[in-house]
Amino acid sequence: MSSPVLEIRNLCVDYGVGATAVRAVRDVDLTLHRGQVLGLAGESGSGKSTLAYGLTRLLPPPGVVTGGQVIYHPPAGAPVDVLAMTPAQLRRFRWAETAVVFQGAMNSLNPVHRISTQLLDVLKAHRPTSTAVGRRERAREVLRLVGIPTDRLDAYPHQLSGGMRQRVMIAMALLLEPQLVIMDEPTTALDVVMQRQILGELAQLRQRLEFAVLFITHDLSLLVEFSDHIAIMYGGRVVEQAASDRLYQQALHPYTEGLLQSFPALRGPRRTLTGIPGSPPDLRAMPTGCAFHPRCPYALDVCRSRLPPLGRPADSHAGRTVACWLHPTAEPATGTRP
Amino acid sequence: MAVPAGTVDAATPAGPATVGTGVRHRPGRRLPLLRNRKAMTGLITLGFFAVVAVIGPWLAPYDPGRRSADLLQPPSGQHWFGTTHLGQDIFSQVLVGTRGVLLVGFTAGIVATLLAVVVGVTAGHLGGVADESLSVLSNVFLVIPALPLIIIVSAAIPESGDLTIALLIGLTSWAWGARVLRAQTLSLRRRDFVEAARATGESTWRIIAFEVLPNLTAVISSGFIGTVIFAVMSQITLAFIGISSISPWNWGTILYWAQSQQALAQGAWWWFVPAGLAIALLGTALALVNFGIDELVSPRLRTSGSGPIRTPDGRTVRMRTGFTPVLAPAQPQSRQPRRQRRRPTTARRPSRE
Amino acid sequence: MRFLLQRLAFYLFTVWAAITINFFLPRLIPGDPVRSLIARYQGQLSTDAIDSLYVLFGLDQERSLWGQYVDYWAQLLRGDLGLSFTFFPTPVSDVIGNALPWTVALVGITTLVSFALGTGLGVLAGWRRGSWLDGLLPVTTFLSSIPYFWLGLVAIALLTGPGSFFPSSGGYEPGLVPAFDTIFLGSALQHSLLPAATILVSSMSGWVLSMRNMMVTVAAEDYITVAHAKGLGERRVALHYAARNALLPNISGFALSLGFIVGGTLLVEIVFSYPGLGFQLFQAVGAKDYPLLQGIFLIITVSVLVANLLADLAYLALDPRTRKEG
Repeated sequence: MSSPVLEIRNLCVDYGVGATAVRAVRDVDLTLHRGQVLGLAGESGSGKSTLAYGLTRLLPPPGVVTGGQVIYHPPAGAPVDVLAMTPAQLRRFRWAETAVVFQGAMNSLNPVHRISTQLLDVLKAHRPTSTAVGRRERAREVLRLVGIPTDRLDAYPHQLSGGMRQRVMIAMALLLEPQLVIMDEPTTALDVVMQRQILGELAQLRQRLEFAVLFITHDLSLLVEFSDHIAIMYGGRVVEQAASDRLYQQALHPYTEGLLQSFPALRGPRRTLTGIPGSPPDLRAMPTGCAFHPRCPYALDVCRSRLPPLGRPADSHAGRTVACWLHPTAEPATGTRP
Repeated sequence: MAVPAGTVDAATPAGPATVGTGVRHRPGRRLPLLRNRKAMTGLITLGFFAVVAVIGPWLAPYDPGRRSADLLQPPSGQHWFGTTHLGQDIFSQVLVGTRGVLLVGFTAGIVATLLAVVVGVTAGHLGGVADESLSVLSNVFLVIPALPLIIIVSAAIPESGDLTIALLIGLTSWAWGARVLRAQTLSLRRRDFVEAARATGESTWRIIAFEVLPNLTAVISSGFIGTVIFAVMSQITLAFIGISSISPWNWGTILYWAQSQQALAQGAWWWFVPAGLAIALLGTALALVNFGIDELVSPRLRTSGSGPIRTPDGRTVRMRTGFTPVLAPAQPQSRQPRRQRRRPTTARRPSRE
Repeated sequence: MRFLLQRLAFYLFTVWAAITINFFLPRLIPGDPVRSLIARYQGQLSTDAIDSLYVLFGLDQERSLWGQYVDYWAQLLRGDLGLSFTFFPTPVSDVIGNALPWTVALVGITTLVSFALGTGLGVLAGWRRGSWLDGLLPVTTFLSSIPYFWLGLVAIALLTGPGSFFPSSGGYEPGLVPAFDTIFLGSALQHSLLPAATILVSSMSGWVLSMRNMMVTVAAEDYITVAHAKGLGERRVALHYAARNALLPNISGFALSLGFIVGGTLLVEIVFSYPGLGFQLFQAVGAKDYPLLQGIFLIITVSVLVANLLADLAYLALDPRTRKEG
């Protein structure tokens, strides 16, 4: 259960190089365990998408990874550092081990090619020895998995509805049975009903196929339901990390608290909806100390001058970490969850 | 009128999403065009031509039409660009001719841009039948070959001076701009601030003047410059084939005389080279300004942020979509064996071994 | 199909507009020059020919404007474009018929080659940004700013002359009789090389630039990132994802700018005295040969529209979104 599938160590991602560089992800440590769902939440600009694109090395220019390691543990064999791969190695690794479901399926499918072409070229690239019949059969199989009639295989993207398109993207991600699927706001572009439906299906698929998920969203309420663990990002750093139920019951970081208070309670007693005043920090001019202090209702003097380390808080259970002076760490941050 | 889905993008590589960012959201950066090296080079060259256009006639050492005994002389200290078959000084002709070229070019540009703004913005903003018919009108003008049309029209007008030619070019070359502007206006119309203005009950013309037009500045100016390029070329072409009146000097008339007096056969290269280079230089300057505007409107086109870059520790890394470079601070154990290992590329250096 | 029908309707409308312009323009010319020209050939003209010229230029004062318009159309539909003054008494349609194949061959083929080559180079330059190809961009800008005809003049000055392989003018060796044999075709090819190269050099750079910019724009699309994420080979991503999509707007841009391109390329014919429509147009301007001028304008317009229709068909074949379901 607790063997890791992906370990992110001290990952830093910049936009630009040299004097104009802006650091969008700062020293992020995360561990994703086999078969688990890790949710990554934060406002837009918190660095969560940059993190996902950075670790897969899909970040477009001027993005550059400036440090750290991304260790992938294959089911058999020695761990590999994704950041050290040559383009050829990276090509082989991609989709076979980690697939990505992108935000907005509208633009993720090439409008001029049939669905079949876009499913089959993955198989052709990664399984060159497969037969044409076998590839088509596999494509049908994954469409069935996500509940799309197989006669839509030769449809063009514009002939499908938004929900169908996103399902095709999920089917595409499952083609090679990857160990890890990264989902970047996979349902944001859909209406709420469709969102629920697809998430439900995803949860079932995950149980059947046992892949791990890195789920990125600005919508914390989704994560509370859908994921095992949640990491909260603010200003390019992870500020709190805990099991989802524990995080939902008791948020330690004032930012997490603010996020939780910006949607109505899922169950239990009603809470007042307050939201968070102010706006996310400008990456070019980050506040000193804790990046959240200008918006924090509980800010102390120390928050303005010193950056709180991420670590296990002395005043709480084991199994969670937080970076906040209100909850000083009991032990130096190791970055890994116990 | 149904138009292929992609055509709008063709005209504006930026796509609708980027319209207006230049004006609304960057108050602190006035005249960002001046920061663009291409645009700056273009503007300086353009300024040079403008100065020549104004003071050229005074600078000219000779009367461009005056004949002399130096027939068909190659360039010399006395005649910088040589002389014609009648002994006229070509340098003076080029200097004096600049004014006509710029005057016609910019007049035609202004006429065409005004028409394009009126037709394009009206069509895009009003929609419905007005849009349909204005779109068909501009498409008709777009597909009818402009130069042959100008030729037959000016052949029908007995004496076509500079102003007539400028008007003619302006009246036939507005369609491209109108098309682009219509597309941009259409996308602006759905933007929040325009919707908001409409909701608060501002009048259509007020919305167009204060909300829509300021956000179209880049598109309008790039259309304007495009038309000026076209107008300069057309006017020179018309003069070259002898359609427009050949009495006032411009670069086209120089070429007309060079061609009709068999300058080529006589080896008088100096007769057509200076005028041609001047045209190419002016055209390049205008095109550079337009590149600057394009890059301003659509940041994706900027060359910076792509291509090889140098890292602080002196390595060269290539930016490449799909393979984000990793610039980890070089570590002792990975730095030494780098050469021996002979990797296929130096670009995507692993962070650690 | 609806898309195609709409386009077809539009082109028919444009033809109508062009013909109507052609009808009204001569009526702006003061009648005297035309009348005097007709008068000059009075003895040699048949009554039919005079009638036809009267209809073309609206000299028939008796008829109403509408009546003149109807006559004009009837005459056009019979293929009667009047008599050329320059090549008197050859009908304009014959003059055009002789010149058209030359232009279609020279301008048509070089335009296509220029588009194909330019687009190919644009794909390379756009995909590998910051490579040496980017360094060529200023050069191409400069080349595309040179008027076609001037480049032709320079080419003639530099590359032709006694003993040179390239002839400086004409469409074929003066002594030859046009026929479909190897000697004539070889001579025609030899004569077309320099004009073709001129058109190619000055028109290609525009395509390089627009395709490069489209590639750069498309490269930032989500589906390109997906293609990379799928671990597809570089060539597959570059050609089947990026270039394939970037081509679409470039093709519609091609269709729309045909009118501009054709105007420029016709001038190359003038410089090389190439026996095509452009050269005829030039001669017609010099001789104030109004019937020929109008006929050429009409035929150029129709050719451009046909080319546009072909481009539309290509677009239709390449973009599934324009095709109706089923």
